[in-house]
Amino acid sequence: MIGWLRRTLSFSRFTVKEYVRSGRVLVEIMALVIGLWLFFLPQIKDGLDATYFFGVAGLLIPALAAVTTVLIMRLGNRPQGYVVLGRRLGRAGYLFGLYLSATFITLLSYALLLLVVLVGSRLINPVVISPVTWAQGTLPLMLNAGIVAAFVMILMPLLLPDWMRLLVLVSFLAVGVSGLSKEYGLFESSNLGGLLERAADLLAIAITPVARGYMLATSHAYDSLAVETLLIQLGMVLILLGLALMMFCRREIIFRS
Amino acid sequence: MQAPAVAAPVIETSDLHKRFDAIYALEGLTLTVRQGEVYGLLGPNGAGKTTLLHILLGFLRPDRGQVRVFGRRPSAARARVGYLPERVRYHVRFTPREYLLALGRFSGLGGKSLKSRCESLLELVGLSADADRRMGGFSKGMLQRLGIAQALVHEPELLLIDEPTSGLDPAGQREVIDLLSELRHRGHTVLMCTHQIPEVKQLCDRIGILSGRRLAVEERVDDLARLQGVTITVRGQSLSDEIALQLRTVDPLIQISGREVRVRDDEVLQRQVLFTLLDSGMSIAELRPTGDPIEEMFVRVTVGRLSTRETVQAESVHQVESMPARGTER
Repeated sequence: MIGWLRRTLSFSRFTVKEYVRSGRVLVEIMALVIGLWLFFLPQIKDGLDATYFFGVAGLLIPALAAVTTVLIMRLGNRPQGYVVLGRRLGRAGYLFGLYLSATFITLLSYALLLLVVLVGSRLINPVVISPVTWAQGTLPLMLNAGIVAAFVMILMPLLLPDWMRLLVLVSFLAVGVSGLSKEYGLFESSNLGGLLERAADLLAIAITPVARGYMLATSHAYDSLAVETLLIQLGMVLILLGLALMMFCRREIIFRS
Repeated sequence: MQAPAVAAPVIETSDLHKRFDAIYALEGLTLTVRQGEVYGLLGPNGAGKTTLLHILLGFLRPDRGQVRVFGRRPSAARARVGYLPERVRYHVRFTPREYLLALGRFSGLGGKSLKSRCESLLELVGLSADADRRMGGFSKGMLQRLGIAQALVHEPELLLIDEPTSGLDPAGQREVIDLLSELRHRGHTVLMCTHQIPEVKQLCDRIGILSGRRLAVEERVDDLARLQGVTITVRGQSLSDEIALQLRTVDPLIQISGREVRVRDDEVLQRQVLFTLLDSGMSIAELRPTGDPIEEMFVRVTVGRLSTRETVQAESVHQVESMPARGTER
C-alpha cells in the first residue's frame, strides 16, 4: 500500500509539473485574477466579511476544480499514457494520480486566493477574522471542490463512453425541464411529468452533500450537524472515486492522438 | 540421451479473439514466445500486431481465448514487462533524465540505484550529452532511442517492441537496430512487431507472420536463411515424381514446384542438382538467384497465396492457416 501510494504521488507530482510547464496553469491564474478583480477587491475596500468570502469562493473554487479536472484528464487521455500505464503504477494509481493533481492545483489556487485576499485586506482595510473561522469555512469548501472534481472526472471520455455522457447530459436537461414544468404546470397530466419529477428528486439527493457543504462554508458555524455534513461530503468523494475506479478498471484503454 | 531443455514460455496466447465493433483485429491467434527468445511478428498494417501488444500489456481485453504473460494475467505481470510503442509520443516537456527518473519511480524504483540506472541507460542510448535538454527539440531518432531507454528503466525480463524503426530515416533506423542488437545479447525475451524484414533478419531468432488476424506461418530465421540459393527452371513439362525423388536424395530439403527447383546456397549441392537434371534429360530454361526467403514468404502469406495448411517446406515449416485480411489495427 505504501509503495502504491508513493508511486501514485510520484505520478501526481509529474502531472502537476507537466501541467505547469504546458502553460495550462494560466487558466487558473487568469480565473483568480478576474475573480479577485470582480468579487473580492470591492469587498476588501468595504471591509472583508468571511460569509461573503466563503459565499463567493464556495462557488468559484469548485468551478475552478471542474475546469482544472477537465484539463488534467485531457492530459491523461493521450497516447503518452501508454508508457506510464504499462508500469507498476497501474490503472488505480494512474487515475488517483490525475485526481490528486487536479485537487492539488485547486487547493493551491484557493491558497493563493486566500493569501491575496488576506494580504489585501490587511493593507487596505484591516478586519480581524480568526484562523479558526478560515479553517471552518475552508474544510467544507475544499470537500465540495473534491466532490466536483471526482464527478467531472467520471464524466470525462477516459472513463465514460460517449453514449453514457450523452445520457448524463439528457438527464440534466430532463431535470431542468422538470423545474420548468413544475413552475409553469407543464406535463401535469402526463406520465412524463412524474418521471421528470422523480429524476429531479434523485439529482436533489446527489446534490445535497454539496449544498450542505456550501451552507456550512458560508455560515462557518459548526453546530451539531456540521460533522455530519463533513462526513457526508467525504463519503460522497469516496463513493465517486470508487465509482470512477470501477469504471476505469473496466474500460479498454485506447488513447487517440 | 537427455532431451534438450525447452525454455519456459513467457508469452502464451491461445485462440485469441478481439473485435472492435464489427471489425475483427484478431481471430484465433495462438502464439508462444519462450524465455530468451527474440520473436519477430511480421504482418501488414492492420494485421492486429499492436492489438496483440496492447492485450499483452493489459490495455485491452480479449473477447475470447487465453492470454498469459509469465504464466499470469497481463496486468499482474506488468512489473516484468517493458514496452516500446510504435509512435514516439513521450512527455516532451521533460528532459530525458527527469523522464527516466519519473518512469522509474512509477515502476516502484528509487534512490541511488535508480539514478545510476538512468545514467547508464542514457549512456547506452547515447543521450548523456542531451540528458538535461527538454525533449521537445529532439529528432525522431533521439526520441526512439529514449523510448528504448524508458522500456529498459525497470530492468524488465520481457520487451514488447512495436515497429521500432517506423518513421525513422536510414541513419536513425541503423542506430535503433544497433541498439536492439545489443539488447539481444543481454538475454531479454523480446516480442517485436514489425513489417521491416531487414531488422527481423538481424535481430530475431524466430518469426511469425500474421495474416487474416491469426498466425499464418512460424519459422526459425536460421532455417529461412538456409533457403537462400538459386531457382532452376526446366523447359517443357513439370518434373516427374521420379526426378523429384532423385533430387530429394541429393538434398532432402530441396523445394520442387512444377518446373521449378529451388536449391540452397551450396555450390556442391547446386552442381549435383544440375547434373541430376541434365542426366535425366531435362533442359535448363533459367537459373536465377532466389529472392529473400523471409520477404518471399511474407508476400506469399500476406497476399493470400499461402493457402490453408499448405506446407511451405517439407520439414521445417509449421502448419499454417491463412484467411483473407479484413481487420484493421487499432
